[in-house]
Amino acid sequence: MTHPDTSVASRPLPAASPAPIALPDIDLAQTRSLVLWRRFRRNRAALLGLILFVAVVLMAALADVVTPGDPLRIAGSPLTDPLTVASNPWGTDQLGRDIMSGIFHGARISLAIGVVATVISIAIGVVIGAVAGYFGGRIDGALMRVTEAFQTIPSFVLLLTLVAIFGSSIEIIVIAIGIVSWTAPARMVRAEFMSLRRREFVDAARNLGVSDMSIIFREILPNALPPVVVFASVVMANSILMESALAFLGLGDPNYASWGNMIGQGRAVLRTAWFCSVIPGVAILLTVLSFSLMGEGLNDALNPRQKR
Amino acid sequence: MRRLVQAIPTIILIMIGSFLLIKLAPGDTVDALVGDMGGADPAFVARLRAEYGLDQSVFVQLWRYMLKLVQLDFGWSYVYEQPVIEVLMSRLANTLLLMVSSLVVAFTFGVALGAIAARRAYSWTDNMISTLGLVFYAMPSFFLSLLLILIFSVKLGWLPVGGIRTIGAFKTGWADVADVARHLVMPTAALSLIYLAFYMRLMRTSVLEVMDLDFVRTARAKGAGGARLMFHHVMRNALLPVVTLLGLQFSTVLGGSVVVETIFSLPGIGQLAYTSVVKRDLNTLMGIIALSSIIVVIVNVLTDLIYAWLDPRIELK
Repeated sequence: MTHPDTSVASRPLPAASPAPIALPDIDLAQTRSLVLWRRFRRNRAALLGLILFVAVVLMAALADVVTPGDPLRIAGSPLTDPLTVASNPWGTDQLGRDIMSGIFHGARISLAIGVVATVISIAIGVVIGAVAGYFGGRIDGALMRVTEAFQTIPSFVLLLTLVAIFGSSIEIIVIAIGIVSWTAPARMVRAEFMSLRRREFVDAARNLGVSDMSIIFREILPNALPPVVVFASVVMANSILMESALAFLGLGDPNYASWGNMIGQGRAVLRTAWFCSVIPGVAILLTVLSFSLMGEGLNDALNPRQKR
Repeated sequence: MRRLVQAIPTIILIMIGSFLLIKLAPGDTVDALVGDMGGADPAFVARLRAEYGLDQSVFVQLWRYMLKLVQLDFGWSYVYEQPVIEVLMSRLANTLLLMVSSLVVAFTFGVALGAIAARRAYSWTDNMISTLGLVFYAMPSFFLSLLLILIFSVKLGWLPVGGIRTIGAFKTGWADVADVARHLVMPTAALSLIYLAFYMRLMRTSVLEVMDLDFVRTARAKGAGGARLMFHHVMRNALLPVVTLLGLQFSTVLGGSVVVETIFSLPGIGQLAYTSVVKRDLNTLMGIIALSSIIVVIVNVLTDLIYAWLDPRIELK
């Protein structure tokens, strides 16, 4: 698997044993991230992803400056074409809401939901995967059955069910997306832990009398994390797609401007005003694309075998 | 067989989970019934609870629930006024048709494009295909569906907007088949594209890896070249991870059919899931979860069989 330290190919020791001396460790971490950045920068596609991502973040941050006011309020005459009226540069929808304002404010919701849901799913995945991979045996068996159960149920159907039962406020949606998407990170962390737990530095820590908990979280986890961080970009893209699909179906939180919801409402006027659904659609497309491109770039930068 | 036995604890866990979800939902069957009647006195409510077994302990209820599920009794749908299993079965064929056609399209094109990209790795063709794959991956299926409708139904008028058959046409034989096929073109395209991207990327990496292996060099040294080398030696081995992914992703495809079926108003399981959520038909929703889990387990077993056929080193025991 991808291992962080092998990227610095000249180093003789493959295992990243947390060094007892602090100073060279920091030094090493700095050069390592520098090398990583250099490799990332070489990849033009990854850079494009980064630029797109920064653009989305800027949109979210500047939403109140560029397009102040409630994005759901009436801001012009309904179904204004884009590029015709100065106050509504991207046009308005059938209720006269400004599309540009919706896109900027929607960026906030998409990013917020993406980040929080990803954190939740990775956190659950790390805990379950770490415990299963570290202890093995019966605990592993039981946890893997639970993982399989979650993988067997179609995740979007489970998401719908959770929303149907607990309501569709934004908090519930975020938690539900986290709950339906932790299985892949869990499997990944488990595989990393299974290969790392037999390493010498783990034995050394155990002989020193370090508790299981701190071996898991302080010794092994930092070494198992890089591939998970890369995978987080996939989870993030998926979370944004799931939220927008939910909002598209009209099952999202109605109190917030959401790209999915805009597309869903634009569907009613697709014949006459295609831009109502196409503009937010392109926004989702580019956001998800930025995550895939960045994730891929990071993966290539971390993977020492792919040198070309 | 062993795979089937292994799946039993998973299925049991899903049953317990869905039971807990029903219990967590506010209100029970009797609340719904009494609500429909417009209220009733407490003694009657208590009698109803006893009749439905809701006064028993949670474990007794769970046991009864599981016994019913094993007999494929998913309860009564209060929206459709039919047993849930009948509602499900009347729609299962459409969903399976959509899924199979989508997966066949995704698999065929994904594998072909991935192999072509790997054959000409790092060329202009490869870059083109790989970029396209990333765009396909980032395209939400509902957005793609709307674009397809906009282009092929609204602007060009070539394909029907929704449904599974032309209403009131009552075609028979091949005309009927052609009619259904025409209705399935856009849903299939919308559902398959993201998986096509997955298979393409995996196939590309997989072919690149296999082409570096020793036995490929041996085959080439023996004089096998061009098509024979590609199809007989490389592709067969490179397909293994793609088949694994196919099995793993089957449940995601089922989930994706919710959106696509709803947009194209295809009367299938996915659309049923959506209407059940909107109409709070929990029994049907739980039936959908149970049925789709069973389908996924069956598909996983089938995947194992295909796997063993592709790779004789793996034994089925």
